[in-house]
Amino acid sequence: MPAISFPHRWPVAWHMAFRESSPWFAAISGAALLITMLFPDLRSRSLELVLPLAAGIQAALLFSPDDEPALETLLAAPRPAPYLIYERLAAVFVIQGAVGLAGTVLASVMVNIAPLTLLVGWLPPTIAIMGLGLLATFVSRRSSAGVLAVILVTLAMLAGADLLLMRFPALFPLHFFFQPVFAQIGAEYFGAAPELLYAINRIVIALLGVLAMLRVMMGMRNTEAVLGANHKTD
Amino acid sequence: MALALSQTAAIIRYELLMAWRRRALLVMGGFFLVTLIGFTAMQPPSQPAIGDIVEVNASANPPTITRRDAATGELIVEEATEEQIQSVPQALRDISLITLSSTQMVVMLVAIIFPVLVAITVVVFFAETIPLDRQYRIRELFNSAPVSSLVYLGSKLLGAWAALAITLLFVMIGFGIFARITLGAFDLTYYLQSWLLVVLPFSLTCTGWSVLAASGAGSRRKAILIGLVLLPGALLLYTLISVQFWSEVMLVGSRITPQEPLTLTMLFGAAISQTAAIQFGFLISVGFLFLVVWAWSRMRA
Amino acid sequence: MITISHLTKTYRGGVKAIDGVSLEIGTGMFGLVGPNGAGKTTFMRIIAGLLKPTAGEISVFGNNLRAYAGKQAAKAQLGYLPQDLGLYPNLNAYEFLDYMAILKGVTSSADRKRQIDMLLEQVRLTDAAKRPLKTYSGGMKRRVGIAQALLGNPRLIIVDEPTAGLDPEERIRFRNLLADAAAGRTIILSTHIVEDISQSCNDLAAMRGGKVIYRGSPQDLIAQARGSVWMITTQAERPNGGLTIVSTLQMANGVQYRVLGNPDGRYDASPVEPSLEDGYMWLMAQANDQLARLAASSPKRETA
Ligand SMILES: Nc1ncnc2c1ncn2[C@@H]1O[C@H](COP(=O)(O)OP(=O)(O)OP(=O)(O)O)[C@@H](O)[C@H]1O
Ligand SMILES: [Mg+2]
Repeated sequence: MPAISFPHRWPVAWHMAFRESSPWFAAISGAALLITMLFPDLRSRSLELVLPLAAGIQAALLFSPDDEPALETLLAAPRPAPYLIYERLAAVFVIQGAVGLAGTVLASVMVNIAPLTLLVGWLPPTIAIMGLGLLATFVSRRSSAGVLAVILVTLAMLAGADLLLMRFPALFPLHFFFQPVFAQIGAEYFGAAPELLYAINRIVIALLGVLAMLRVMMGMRNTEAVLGANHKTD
Repeated sequence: MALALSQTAAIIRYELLMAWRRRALLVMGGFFLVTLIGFTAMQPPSQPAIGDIVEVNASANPPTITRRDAATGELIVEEATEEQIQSVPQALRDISLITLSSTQMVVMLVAIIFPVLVAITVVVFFAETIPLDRQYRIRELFNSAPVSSLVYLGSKLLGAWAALAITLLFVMIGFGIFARITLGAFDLTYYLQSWLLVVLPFSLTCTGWSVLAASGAGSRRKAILIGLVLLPGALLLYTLISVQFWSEVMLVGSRITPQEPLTLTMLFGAAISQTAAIQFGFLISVGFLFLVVWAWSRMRA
Repeated sequence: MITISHLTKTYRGGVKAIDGVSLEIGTGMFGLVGPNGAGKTTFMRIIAGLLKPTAGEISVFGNNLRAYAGKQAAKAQLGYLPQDLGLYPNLNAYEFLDYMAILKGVTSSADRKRQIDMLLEQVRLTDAAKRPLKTYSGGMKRRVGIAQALLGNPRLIIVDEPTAGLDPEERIRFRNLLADAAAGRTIILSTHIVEDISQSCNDLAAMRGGKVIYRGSPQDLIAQARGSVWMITTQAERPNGGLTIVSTLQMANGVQYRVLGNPDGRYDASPVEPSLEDGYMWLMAQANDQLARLAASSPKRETA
């Protein structure tokens, strides 16, 4: 009788994944959330300001091939290499997600905005910036590049994206911190419903993040490149 | 002493060589340049003029004006009528509005906007300078050679500074050329001063903090975390400097008198020199940190 | 001359890696053997001035390693190859050696060039000298490490498992290189390839559990094992009962065992001339016996 092979379900090393992603980041982002909530002006946006940055930095530190001490052993294991990224990302999601959900509940009580509205405000940019950090580190092989990309893109989006939209309104789907108010303005410009514009923006940026993460997971399959055997980098 | 000097020179030289081969300087410099150019490109195009006059030279004999020809955009110099002179406010006579506006633009970009970018970048970027030796497991070789902790720490710091200074030099030249082409003539003195007296000491301070504070970290990743911890400090330093700069620029209005028309010196001279003065004060903090870290590493040796 | 007295090293966390070692090491090759975790690397790192001893005194050519100045003076005459060698991946061998030579105080660039060219020739890396170190094979990296340790004409050379990962040809070449260099110098060599020691050292110490359990010449160690090494050929089960099997060989007429101990006429055993490896195995077996006896006599034995 021929052996029937079922697709194997590989175990996930949760313990290591959580250790690699330093849970005390949760404490930092939690503290930062509480501090920003002390300022009434920031209260409604504090989740949006803190979580993407914190999760993005954490994602940028997750996996840089040159700084992974047991890289060769990890890549030689029978479990497919993308699992490594998957389990670590999941750990960050759990850690920051827990902080984010708690913050959402707290904020919705404090500023009287529906929890779902708040969630839609911070979750897509968080996914996008996590993907950015992960990808930037993976491609450059150095976490410092990923961390810098996360910080600079976040700051640029916060400081400059609104201005940029005034000159190039068509770029609105790429604005990580697109506000419903802007959707109202855009509605007149594009002649479309503001809800639609807002939804397009949220979906596009979340999708960008997911694509970046998938790109890294696909990249993990090319073990030769991950190992640096092509000698392009140190 | 001779040995210490040749060791220092060698560490700096090879530090630069390795930074170059890692493409670190190229990436950082390229990023700086692209961002500066991007900022410039985002500014709305301006053609400063009062009416069509871009410069009144009232003190010349006879007085002349420079005006922009409406059709071709070319600049024409001709003898000024009294009416034309009167149309330009006293404070703006005898200086070129084009030079004024493009100088203002490059100085603002370089001295005010650019440092925030530098602060974030160098604090994260240079933190790995010393931990990288540990990660490459090369520290054991250094420690077995007759290299004193003073020479080691000092040369690594100087190496990072040299790498930074070279990068900034190229960005300065590159952006200068770009600005000259797109914005028009600007005053070179204030451009150079903004780089050498504002950006350079500020970024040296941030780099010094980062290299020294992260020197005890065992891996790149820990170094980056230390760099992140330093980030608010660097941003605070930036705020102090830009507030200083702005307040000096704001004071200019109160200094304008009929006897003394507006000059670039009035606009930027005091701002740059005041900012530079407090900056060199901050550089001393690097020296202090150096002593602390050095004493600590001596104790552990 | 290196003088070590009552040296003890306790790592943070309480591991006592060196336990009251006193030794004098003169010129020539000095071999250091012992099982994994015996404390060899710790011992060598302390002599190289990389680790601070917890207790005890060390003087290297009259420089007291407890004082910072003494340590720096000793380092000026030291060549060191760490067990876990790291290299800068983006430099080539020539640049790396040049860098190390300057750090070691070879200030004249003509002098440096001469030394580096010679050493690259000796470790046979002249052809690869201009390639980045990250493209080197494991053994090539090791050879860069060896060349680096010999730079600057050091009086004391400490090499920690230098031959690990070298092919036999290179290993023998390196052994001869060190033996040549040993004239008028002190070379401390740790290795698990006992043969390397028997071919090059006339003085050796065996460590175990942070203690020196043997100090003397390889010949004396071999002599101690004489009469305890046997060859047994049998078709029956493996020899046991206090015998340590050193090697096993499947033959046409049965299995041939090389054993250590006393067969007591239970087997068809013929005595053979011991090698240094047999001497080492004999020494470790003795130490094991002693430990076992100690454990049996004291009911509450402290765990190390
Ligand atoms: N940094 C450290 N911290 C704590 N314990 C250590 C440290 N380094 C070594 N040890 C312990 O000290 C003991 C001696 O280690 P050492 O590396 O000197 O052994 P070794 O003889 O060189 O072994 P090997 O043959 O495997 O290289 C071991 O028990 C080891 O676990
Ligand atoms: Mg060892």
